[in-house]
Amino acid sequence: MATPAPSPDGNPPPPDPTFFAAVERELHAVATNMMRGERADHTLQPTALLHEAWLRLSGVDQRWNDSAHFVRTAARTMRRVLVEHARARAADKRGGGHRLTLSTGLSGQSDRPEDLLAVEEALAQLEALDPELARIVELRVFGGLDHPTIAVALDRSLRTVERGWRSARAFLARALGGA
Amino acid sequence: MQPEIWQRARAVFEQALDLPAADREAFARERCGADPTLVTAVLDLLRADAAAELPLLDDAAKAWSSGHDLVGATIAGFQVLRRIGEGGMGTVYEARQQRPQRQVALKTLGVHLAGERARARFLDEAEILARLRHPAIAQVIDAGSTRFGERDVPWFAMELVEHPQSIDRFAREQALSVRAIAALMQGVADAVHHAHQRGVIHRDLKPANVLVDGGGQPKIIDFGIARFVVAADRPAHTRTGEFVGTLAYMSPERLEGSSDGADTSGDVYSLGVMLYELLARQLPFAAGDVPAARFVDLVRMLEPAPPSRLCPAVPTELDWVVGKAMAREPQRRYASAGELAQDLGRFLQREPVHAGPPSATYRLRRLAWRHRLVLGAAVVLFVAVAVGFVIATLGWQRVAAAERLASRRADTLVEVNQFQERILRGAYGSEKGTDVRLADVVDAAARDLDHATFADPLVEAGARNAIGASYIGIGRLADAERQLLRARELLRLLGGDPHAGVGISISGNLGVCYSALGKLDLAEREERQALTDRLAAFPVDSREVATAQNNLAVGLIKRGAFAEAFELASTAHATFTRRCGEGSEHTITACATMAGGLAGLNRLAEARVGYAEAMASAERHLHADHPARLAVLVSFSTFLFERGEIDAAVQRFEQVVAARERVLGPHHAQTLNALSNLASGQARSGKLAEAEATLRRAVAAYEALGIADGYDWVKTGQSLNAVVRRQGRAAEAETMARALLAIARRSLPDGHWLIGIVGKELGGCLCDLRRFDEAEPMLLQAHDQLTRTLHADDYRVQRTVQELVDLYVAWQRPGEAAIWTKKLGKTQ
Repeated sequence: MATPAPSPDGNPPPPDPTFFAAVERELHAVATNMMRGERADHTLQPTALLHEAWLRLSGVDQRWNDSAHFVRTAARTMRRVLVEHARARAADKRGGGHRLTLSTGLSGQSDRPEDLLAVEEALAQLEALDPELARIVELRVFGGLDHPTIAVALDRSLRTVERGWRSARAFLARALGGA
Repeated sequence: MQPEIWQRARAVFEQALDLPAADREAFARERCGADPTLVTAVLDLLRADAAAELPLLDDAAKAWSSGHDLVGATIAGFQVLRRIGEGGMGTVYEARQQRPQRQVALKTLGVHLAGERARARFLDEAEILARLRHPAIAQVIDAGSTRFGERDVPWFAMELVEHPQSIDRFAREQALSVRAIAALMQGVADAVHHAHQRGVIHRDLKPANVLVDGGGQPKIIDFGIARFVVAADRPAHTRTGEFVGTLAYMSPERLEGSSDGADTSGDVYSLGVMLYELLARQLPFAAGDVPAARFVDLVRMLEPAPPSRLCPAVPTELDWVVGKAMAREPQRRYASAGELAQDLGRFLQREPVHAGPPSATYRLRRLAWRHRLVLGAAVVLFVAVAVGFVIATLGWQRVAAAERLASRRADTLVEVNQFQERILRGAYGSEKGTDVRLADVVDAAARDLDHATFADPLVEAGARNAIGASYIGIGRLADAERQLLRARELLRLLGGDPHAGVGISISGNLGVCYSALGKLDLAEREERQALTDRLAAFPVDSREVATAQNNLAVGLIKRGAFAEAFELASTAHATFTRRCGEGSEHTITACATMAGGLAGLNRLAEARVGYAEAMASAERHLHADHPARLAVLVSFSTFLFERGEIDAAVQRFEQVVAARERVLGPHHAQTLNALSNLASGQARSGKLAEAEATLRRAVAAYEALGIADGYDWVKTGQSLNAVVRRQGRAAEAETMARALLAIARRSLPDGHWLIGIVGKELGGCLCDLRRFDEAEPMLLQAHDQLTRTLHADDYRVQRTVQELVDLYVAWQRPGEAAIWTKKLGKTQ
């Protein structure tokens, strides 16, 4: 894993907002495109999204050399796309759409988009309270990353990520169960 | 919830997670105290943690891929039977090939190929992989891409590894011997070399990618696949998330991003890490508590412990092999995986391996990162060794022909160099990790000397002399004596003059050592020898000569030869003043030595002026903990104490004890000396029990240092004896005094005043026990002994006279009492 080139004070260089906005737009387009018309036997893995986006972006801009930032952005984008998708499907369902089961998981074809929307709502609460924990959840759930990778993406120790995840998970479980 | 409540609840919750589940609630209640909001928040979290099953959150990875299943499908003649695994790069299935009939592993890659060119390139690469044929490489049978929806998904069919186990697990479960591990990794390295020769680099070697089948044959999987998963156009930035798991096996240059891994040396490094892991049963760098992005710093700054330290069965040669494979700089590694395989083969054939211990300069540079202070100490020691060597060769010059010397010097330099390197390795190889002290460095050096054989005994003599001097510095006197005597013995065996060259240095060091051990006779002999030798080798007014003069003077004061001591110290003082200036530690020390001589001669006013001058100069020029300044302070306070200025003395003793405990540690001989002085002060202030405890501690500490006789020990024992007696335990004191007297007679020079003082104490005890007829000869003899070396007005003589007066009074012999009373009080 390449580490971000540190600036003299040891912090990662500040992102260029316009550049990252463009990256985000691009990721969003890729993800939305992948969601549309997917068949049930297709993989929609975040890693596949990343690779796809990567292939497109790598020719776009030389500044795109911070892969930690890349995965953070990708996870955030994935979250947005999935939530939008789930909202649309929930609206379909209310309009008499098809019945679905939970077993298909997160991959856009979730039979109960409400599940994802409930997670999103709880995650928004957590975000307001503890943004760093929300980042961990985002990278894990929507970025499909494991803990060591998250530790790199957030520049935290593995232990911090693991404990943070336990806290975030407990918070979400409580919000989902008790809400 | 309030953010601050949340943060506190989160902290308590995360701490509670470290405890067994049953203890968490009690812990949380205790930590939250009386804050009901906080208690509720933490308990809610604990309950949610224990109860909830959240498939959406917990199995995100599974959930993500659950829509993807090829089981039942047939792809290019491969019938997919079942899913075996899910990797970062894709999904692995077991499949049956129809022709020939066999089971294979079918792996789909988590990418799709955009366009005909990408597809063609993938197939080209796959063909190269299919040409790799090595028993330790899982054979690629076929590759292609298949259409899913709108995308082309690439797949590989590979040899299916039967009953696979990752290599680390295999080694662990089979409890492989060191040789079996070497043999296994030899095969793996050979396979990697085979691939390298055909232009295929693995880039992701790790135990999970090296399987061992049911027959014990290693099989590397996923060769060259890493590069398909990434955009080949941008090789420098190919590492998205799923590669991070391999951080531990990634070469430093890849971690730093300065290499894309398209280099065979990165694979060699990964092989080195795996070999390390199998031998040491742990990874060289533990990254768990380090921010992941800082892992690269860890790898850059730390030297992993050699595997042999973690697993004693590992021989040093394999440490070297691992070290060479894992060298931080690629150019220091094996030039190829094949060379690594060959070196492992040499090890297995019991031939010398090509890898060797890293060079001294390289080690030094690496170590400089780790512990600059200790390195400084080590460098001081090396300089001392090197100087010892130079002196040694200079001395040798007198007996050896010049050309013999020249070749000798080259060899000797090599030996000195190797020795230094071994010392460092030994010291840093100790179980203390980075907490290495000078003592560890010196101990390592001494250990090395005992096991190594030197082609040139002069090197060994020089090294032992330097180590002896270092031991004196850290207060390990018995060890110092052993090293110095061995050094002298070596010189003698060489047939050269033991008092020339390095021999001069040895006698000086031995003198200091014996003086500190309280072996005054031996100290004087060595110090006189050192002075004679230096007068022969250096100008009469050189610093070297003055140092020897001052040291001899200090020893003579302990012996009671005050006149000569004063004379020598005066000469030294004059030399130092001229050569080093007023404020030099040498000048200040010599000034205090002069004052000590004057005090012994009972020229008290002059002595006081001398001490005051030395003290003032020390305070002006030397920092508070400077050893010379502390030494002056000790002599001055002792002087005050003997004059009865108890409070002033005790205050200063306390200062010295604190400083020496801080600087030298509680067990250093000089600390004990100060402690003993302090206890005498306490006794004089009437704090007898306290003084007794302090003195017993000092005696025990001396004995722990291997010191159970000689000047300082007898002095401390005498103080303890007096304290016991003054507490009314005369019988106990008598026994103690008799034992002490025997030791004093044995270990101190004939007629030394301390023997007299111990005799005086014994006489006093007998008097207390009303055994007057035994006490009288004892006290008279003591008086006789003391007046031979001490002035009649000296406080020690006066105290003995007082004992005699007390005796005759108690014995009711007023005539004698009156005679002795007349001798008393001239100065009081």
